Amino acid sequence: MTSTNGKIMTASEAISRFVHDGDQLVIGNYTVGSCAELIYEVIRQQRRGLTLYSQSGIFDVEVLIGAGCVERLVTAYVMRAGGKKGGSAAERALRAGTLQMEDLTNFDYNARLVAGMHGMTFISVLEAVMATDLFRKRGFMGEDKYRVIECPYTGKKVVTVPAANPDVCIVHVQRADKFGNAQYWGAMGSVAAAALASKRIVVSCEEVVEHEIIQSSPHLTIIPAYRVNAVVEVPWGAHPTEVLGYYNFDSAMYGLFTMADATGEGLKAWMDEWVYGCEDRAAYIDRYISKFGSSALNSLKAKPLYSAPANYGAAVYSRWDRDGREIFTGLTLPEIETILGERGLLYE
Amino acid sequence: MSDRAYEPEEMMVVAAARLLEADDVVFIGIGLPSKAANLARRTHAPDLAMIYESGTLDTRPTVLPLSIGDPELSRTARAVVAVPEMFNYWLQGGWIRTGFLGAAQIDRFGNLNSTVIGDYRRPKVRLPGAGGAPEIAGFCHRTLVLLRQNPRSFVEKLDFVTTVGTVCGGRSRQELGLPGQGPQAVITELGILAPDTGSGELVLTHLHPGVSAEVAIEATSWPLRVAAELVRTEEPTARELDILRSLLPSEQSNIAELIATAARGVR
Repeated sequence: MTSTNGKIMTASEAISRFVHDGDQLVIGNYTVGSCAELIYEVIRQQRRGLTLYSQSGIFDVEVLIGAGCVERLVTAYVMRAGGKKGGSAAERALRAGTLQMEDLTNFDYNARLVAGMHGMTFISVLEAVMATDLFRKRGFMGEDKYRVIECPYTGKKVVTVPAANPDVCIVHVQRADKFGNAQYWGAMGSVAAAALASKRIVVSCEEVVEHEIIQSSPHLTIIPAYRVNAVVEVPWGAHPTEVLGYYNFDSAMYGLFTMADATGEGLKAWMDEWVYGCEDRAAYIDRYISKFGSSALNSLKAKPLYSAPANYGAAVYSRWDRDGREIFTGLTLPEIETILGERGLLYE
Repeated sequence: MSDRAYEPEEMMVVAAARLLEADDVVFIGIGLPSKAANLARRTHAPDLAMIYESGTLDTRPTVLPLSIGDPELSRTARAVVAVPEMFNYWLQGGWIRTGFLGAAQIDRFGNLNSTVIGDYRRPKVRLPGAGGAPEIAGFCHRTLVLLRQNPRSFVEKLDFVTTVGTVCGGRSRQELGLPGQGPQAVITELGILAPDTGSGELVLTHLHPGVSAEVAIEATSWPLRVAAELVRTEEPTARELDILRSLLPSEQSNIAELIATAARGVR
């Protein structure tokens, strides 16, 4: 799957190619640095009938529901704008009967993705959930929300959840190379599990960097290239949420969204301006600057604070000369195997 | 003692902070629990290990974080892990001693509702949901619950059981196989409730200054039991109030300023 090019594309092209009507779509980010531009593009392209997985829904889930993209929601948390007297797109859609929802706990939500990531068909979870209405009151998953089996070792009752393998994960990270090696650091959330459990992965990033940058700190790569279908470079791609090392949470802009989201009309007006009214993220940022001034945006920009580089060096690296002798030991591979065999150290 | 004026919410946060132990390991969310833990770390519990649910372990923010993804939490953390790891290795592993929880409703056994008011499928009020509360309540050695006390929140019957406390009292919690002790204190703006050792029912054990037992009883939908020896909470000290009020969020919200700029037009 790794190719030297062809994965770099616009948000429009990535969503058009990899997110389809009726898909199970997972938002890889967990309230932090949410993939706003990819989400807005799903809305602009009017995807319908999605089953949306979101561990903890914030504005991202609200706009997708408000736009009518979501038929079913699997989640552990949804936002509520304006406290008791306010509301949310999720609440309005539930009342209107246009949204079906499955309530899980953070643990169970993650367990489903982890099972999917590991190639298992189910996984056991904390059995105490049986004493709650999360177990008793079920949404569209019905019997398959939780099933109880007997542990083959202890005979005890074990509660299980089915693995989740969403059709596509959309996720925002700090940086990636053109091959799709995606690096992310900071509040880790469930980014890796959401991405790796999914069949297709669309990555947006603050910057596409040279492959050597990625290679110099491989521990930061949480999604390797061979799993990634598309790489979208989109500065400010998670605004108004935060991206460590790039920008802070825009509490004022978020406050404006929250005020708007208290009613259906308010949310629609907000989306007309900030989602439908901007053809891409560059247009969105232009609008932000023309409306609030560049100083408002600049005040969010991160000041550099680099971690100390880790030493990946070694005294000598294994390599072999033209005669097949290992440079460091001067032995050939069969000679090494003979010695190890004599000492009983060779696994046959 | 202090003769300084303070808000009921400040008393609530101070009372919660005092319940944290000097070397506690505490799982916290944003809001009052975050304030209480940060206050405790600056007073009697400097070695408090704070764990925020986004995966930052032993983090030491210099200001109150705005969100669980606040850069301040990653910058000052001793370790950063993914959420599945947080739950599997740390919480389920039994390494988080105290969990803070909030809720919209609580019943006499400390069971909590944070999912819905009214019908589940066609809600009157759709609340945020379970989050990590059911597992935090299951695996932390103890939980501390923070919520305001009134007849709408302290109810006879929950609209939805999201998180179990002592379930239906007696040994019902142990029979579920939950490793943690469950709710050890419910801290409100009126006082503190704790489960009765035998029955597991919440009993009023502390009253904050200026509050009478009658007020707490009236604010509770079930017939609230009052401990034989009711303790009067000590008022917040001047030092506690100073520190609490200095814990400003890492970035002050400037919505008003932003709206004003938009109205004025950018030059």
